[in-house]
Amino acid sequence: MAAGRWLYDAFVALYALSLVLFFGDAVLPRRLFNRAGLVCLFSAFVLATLFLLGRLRALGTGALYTPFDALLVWAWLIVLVTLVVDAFFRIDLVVFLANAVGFAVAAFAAFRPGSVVYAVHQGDLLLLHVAFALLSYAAFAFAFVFSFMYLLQDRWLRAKRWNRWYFRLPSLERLDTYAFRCVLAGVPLLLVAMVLGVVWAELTLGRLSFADPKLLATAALWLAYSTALLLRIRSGWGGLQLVRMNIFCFTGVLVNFAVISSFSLLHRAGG
Amino acid sequence: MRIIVVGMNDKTAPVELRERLSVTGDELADVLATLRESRTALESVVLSTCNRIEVYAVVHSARAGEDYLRTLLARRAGMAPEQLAPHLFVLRGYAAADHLMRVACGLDSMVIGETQILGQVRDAYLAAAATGNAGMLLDPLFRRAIQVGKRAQTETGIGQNAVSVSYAAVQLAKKILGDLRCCRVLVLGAGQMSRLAIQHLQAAGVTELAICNRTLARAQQLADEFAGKVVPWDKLGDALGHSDIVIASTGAPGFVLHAEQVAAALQRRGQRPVVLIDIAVPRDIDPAVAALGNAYLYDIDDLQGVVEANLAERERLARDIERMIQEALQEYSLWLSEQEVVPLIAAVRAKGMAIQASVMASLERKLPDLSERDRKLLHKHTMSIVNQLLRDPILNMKALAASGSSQELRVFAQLFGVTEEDVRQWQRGTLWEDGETVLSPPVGFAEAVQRWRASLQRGTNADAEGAARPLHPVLR
Repeated sequence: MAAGRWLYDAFVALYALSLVLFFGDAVLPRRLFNRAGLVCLFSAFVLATLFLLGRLRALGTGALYTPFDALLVWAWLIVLVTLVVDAFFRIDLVVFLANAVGFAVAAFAAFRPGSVVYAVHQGDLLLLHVAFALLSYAAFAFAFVFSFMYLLQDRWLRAKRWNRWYFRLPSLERLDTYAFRCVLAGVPLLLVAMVLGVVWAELTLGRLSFADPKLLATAALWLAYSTALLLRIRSGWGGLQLVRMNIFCFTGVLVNFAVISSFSLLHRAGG
Repeated sequence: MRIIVVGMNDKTAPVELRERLSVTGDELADVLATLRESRTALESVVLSTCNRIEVYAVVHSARAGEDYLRTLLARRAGMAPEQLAPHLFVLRGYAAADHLMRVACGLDSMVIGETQILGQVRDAYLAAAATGNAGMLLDPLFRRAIQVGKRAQTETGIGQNAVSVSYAAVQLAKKILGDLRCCRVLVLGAGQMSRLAIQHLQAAGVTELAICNRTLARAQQLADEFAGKVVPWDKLGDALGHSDIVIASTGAPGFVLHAEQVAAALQRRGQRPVVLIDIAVPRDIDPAVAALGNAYLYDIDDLQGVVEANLAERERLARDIERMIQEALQEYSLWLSEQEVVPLIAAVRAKGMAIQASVMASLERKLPDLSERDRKLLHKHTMSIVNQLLRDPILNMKALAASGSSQELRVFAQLFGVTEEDVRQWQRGTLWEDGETVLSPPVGFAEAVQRWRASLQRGTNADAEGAARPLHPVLR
């Protein structure tokens, strides 16, 4: 890890610089800021990929067994998706807002205390459990970002403030659809992650305590997201209620990841 | 050779004058033929719209060309050239090319960023290209102008920001409901404003239209015109529950839609939002409706605010488009410089090929037993030597041409033993057939002083425009 530390530091520095440039573009729209921000973001993505490949080679397995690695992969997934979205869909401001979340995750990874390993390397099942959980977290992070954008656009439309963000943000209907699709992707991914985690615990530990706080909190989150999804599909529940629910649930995801995991016997110190 | 434009637009001439000069579709062929047959205009394109009439031309002498075009336009207007002169504008070189690109991008239009002008520029160019009026200089210039116009529209979306109240209503509805094709629209009132709003909504893809008016006959008339259906006034509550967009534009003295009616309709709609646009004065919709969840209410002042914000946004986007135009002009200038050095490149290459041919002939004399395969192999490899030797020099020649370094080009030609006569031979049939070559001898003292002054002025202009490299003489 020490050998690749400079890669990680350079990744964080470039990521921060890209965020500053995107912030500049969001406040004072300039094509130059946007292009320079994208170049920095792509460079940060390359560095993070190299760093993760280095970890993969050093560990001989997917680098997902420590909270640091898991957080880094989460941030990496967010950067990857934003780069793809920017290249093919051009949803204005999503790159800035999603990477604000991504950078918070990367910064938390860098400065969080302790260096806990979840468990000894127990094969592919645990790896898949963490991978699916991170994919679902990435989907929920984007659902949160689109929901936040919805709230902003709704605010400008109700306050009748025709500012630059009003022009740049997509329509409420599109933001609602994007947020819904992200939750639609995240719910089954989290379910798979939960099932894999239970199977792994049964196979490896021989028993599973259903009183584990992380397990209960994750199940509650999954239920909350599923309920929102069901209401939306069955009774056309959408708009403000859905986006408020998404924001509430994502706060739950962050609390679950950063706080509740500390009390879990299975997920000590995060993840 | 110079590029010039002589014309008039809504800023320089009143409509009475513009309509006298206007060139209709049938007349365009005659005007282009007149220009083609003249000895003054080597190339020409005529752009005639309701707001402008402009003649772009490539001429040997800018002054003679301007006089000719002024006279042509004055004759068309039935006026003396002196009478027409105050209403005409004349731009040369860089300013003319810049003007064309600004026109194509809609930056010179009455409503900044309008998109119709791009199609009109394209039509003018196609007409001139078809008759052979647009040639080696105007053809690439117009193609670049059309390209930059398209780029401006797609990258900035400047034309999508509404500048009329009725279109602003549609834009607002789109910001809330997204795609309007599946939306149901209810129009209250059957007046002129309702008609305009329906036109914009149908242009945005709306197909389900209901019209509700106290006078049923007027509602029926509007419904027939736009393939909508009529809703009787007493069924307004039901229609409200089924509508995603409500446009209110009746002449009623008070509110015709109250908060209670809208609240009841919203309950029937579940969570689906409704956009209510009140373009009537006095207002038709109770302002208390705005406080209801899932109801978005806008009145005429709000729409006016959207229009003003859109105009400000267009101004901001125009600055981005200006940068695109500068890039396109630099590209055009570079292309012109490269074209100028093409005869020199051809002469150097011809020299290389001649050497290769003589080496091959010598080899064939000394090695008469060579098979066809051996000859082909030797030919291929000797050609490869010539090509590899010339590749970097040719690239550097293009770079020198772009930087305007004619002295270095002369040295370069001397090193390769290429004379001015060789270059002239390859210059035939190109843009510079009758002009100087890149190897023309240094000019006399007086002309050198004139060029020095021009270069100083150019330097000042370039600084002002932030240009990175000097412009080609055609654009100066």
